Amino acid sequence: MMPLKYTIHKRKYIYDILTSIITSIMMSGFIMSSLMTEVDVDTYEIDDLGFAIVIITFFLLLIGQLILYWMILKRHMFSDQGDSFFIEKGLFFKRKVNIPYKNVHSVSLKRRFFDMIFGLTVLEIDTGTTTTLQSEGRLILSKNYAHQLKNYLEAKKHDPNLILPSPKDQDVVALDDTPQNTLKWYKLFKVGIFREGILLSVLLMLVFIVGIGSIAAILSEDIIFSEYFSTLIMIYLVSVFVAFISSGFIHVLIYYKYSYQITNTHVTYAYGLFYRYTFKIPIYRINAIRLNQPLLYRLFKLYQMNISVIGVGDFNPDNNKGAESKSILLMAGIDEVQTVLKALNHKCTDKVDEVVPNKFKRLNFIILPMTVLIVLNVLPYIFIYSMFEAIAFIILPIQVLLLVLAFIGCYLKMIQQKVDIIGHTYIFNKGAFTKRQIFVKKNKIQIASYRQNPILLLEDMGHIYFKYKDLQGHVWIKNQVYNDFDKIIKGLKNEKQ
Amino acid sequence: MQKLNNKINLYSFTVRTIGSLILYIGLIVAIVIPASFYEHEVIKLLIIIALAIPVILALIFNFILPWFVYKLHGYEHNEDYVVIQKGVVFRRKDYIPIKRIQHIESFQGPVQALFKIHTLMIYTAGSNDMIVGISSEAVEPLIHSIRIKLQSYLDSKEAKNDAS
Repeated sequence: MMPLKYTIHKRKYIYDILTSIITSIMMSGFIMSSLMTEVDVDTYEIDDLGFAIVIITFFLLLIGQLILYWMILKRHMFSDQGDSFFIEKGLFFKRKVNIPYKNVHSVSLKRRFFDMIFGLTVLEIDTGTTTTLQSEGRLILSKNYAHQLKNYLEAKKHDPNLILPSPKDQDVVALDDTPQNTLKWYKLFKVGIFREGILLSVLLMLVFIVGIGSIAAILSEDIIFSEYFSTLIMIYLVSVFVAFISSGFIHVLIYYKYSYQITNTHVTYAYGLFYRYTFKIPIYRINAIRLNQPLLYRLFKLYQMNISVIGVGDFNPDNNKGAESKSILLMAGIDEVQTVLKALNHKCTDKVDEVVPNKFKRLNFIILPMTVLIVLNVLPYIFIYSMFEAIAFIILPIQVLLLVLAFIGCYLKMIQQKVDIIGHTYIFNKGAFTKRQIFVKKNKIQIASYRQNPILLLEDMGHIYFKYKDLQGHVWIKNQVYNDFDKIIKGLKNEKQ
Repeated sequence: MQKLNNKINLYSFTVRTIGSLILYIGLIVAIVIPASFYEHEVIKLLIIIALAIPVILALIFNFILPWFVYKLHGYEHNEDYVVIQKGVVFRRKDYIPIKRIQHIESFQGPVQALFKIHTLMIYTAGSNDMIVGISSEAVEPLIHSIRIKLQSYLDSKEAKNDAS
């Protein structure tokens, strides 16, 4: 038996009528303005024929749009296909959306101002995919039916016998646990000073100040170089000091009284001085764990742990800002990290396999990128050296410093890239100066892809790309042979065993 | 690997031509406009050079690459994955675990209707991928086949374990 198909609410046509009228007015207004002739200074007129054309255009456009919108409305249908909810729409651009009931992540009801006037509700079905900002299914329904359909969609995944009702007829978690592990203000200050990117900022400040100073030196003729550059150095040192101190204070304000607690089922954490956020997240909803070690953290053997959860803000009834911190550990030693990893069901034992770059690794990680960088740095000396000849002795050491840092970065990237396959978990080791470990359970991997650009095609190699369940959550494993990809893919297949 | 509809090369050529037209027209206009139109005559040359580079790339993209689409693109699906192979110069092979599929969409625009082909869009929780150029008669059986495999996973104990 063919499933019954229902159309969206006909009152939606009111919006279409309004849209048609506005569009027709705009289009005929445009035509009118082009048909007007200037009869005097700043005086325009339209003749009878022109006026008739405008009126006819207006009505033709209006009628045409009203017909089209009606046809589109009548083709916007939804139905129950047994295991899935089916939406079809479109006249010229036909779209059919098949959403398995078991994959319905959330069903939301939204009412805009005019929806309230017209008694309508927009029902949005979300499958939890993060690829589109819009929901996967969107239906305009009457207020009462929208509630009915929402209940049906939420219940259907548990009760397959439910029947789609005919149109003719937030999960708030009580925060009962008090978070326990806390960070004092001076540790938060330290987090700000040690944070990822602070050394890069210091380096960029150096490049910026020396760059600006050099341009000024080129343009100005009566400069005493020694005084001028000692002033620049002073400015630079003060800027660095201010950057460190302000970063420390900002972290104290943002993460004031940071605390977390992990139970068997949930992670709870809270922070903030001006806006106090409290989140309670079921552990099973954690899609990935990221363990970062920025350079200063590495020096002191410290770690930072972030978790990846979609819609974490939903769990806080008081949070309407949508802001969130997913940092479970802002600064911790290895013992605390291992305890938390264990509590989050990510055990780091029983290593099964590992994938590391082997073929052409020096060529791909160091020689090719460094060649590009060196060429870019040398070219100005060949073509426009005369422009900065006077200050080349300052720029050159900075260029050399940056190239040396780039070389070290490339080298670190090469030696640190590794994929550990441990039971049901992949651990992606990456990074240059900031060492990163990303723990992703195999069942959170959404897409595995092997990608080749023309150079890698010549080398018979490729980049491995993983997309995991998170907003923009992805990992690149660069310059690997297909066998490595195959090894990881096999690991994915074995997941259910 | 299953092949796409054999009209996919012509379809790629058509849509790429439509997309590149604005560049071609821009270059023609830049050539036709007399140099005296600009304040300095060198501006005309600079505009032509600036447009010529994307036009050359567009010409390769438009007139050469489409004829390799049928040969190099394809798809297949087995018990575990939907595999999509695409790209001519930049090639990729995507593996989408069937059990991660959230929903599937089939799409047909006016140009695709002309060639009787469809686009199948596969959405997972964190990504999406598409197969452009499946024959109209092949698209429904393909969706049906993927749906059956997905449903058998969703009904399994494993799905319940994954969700908890």
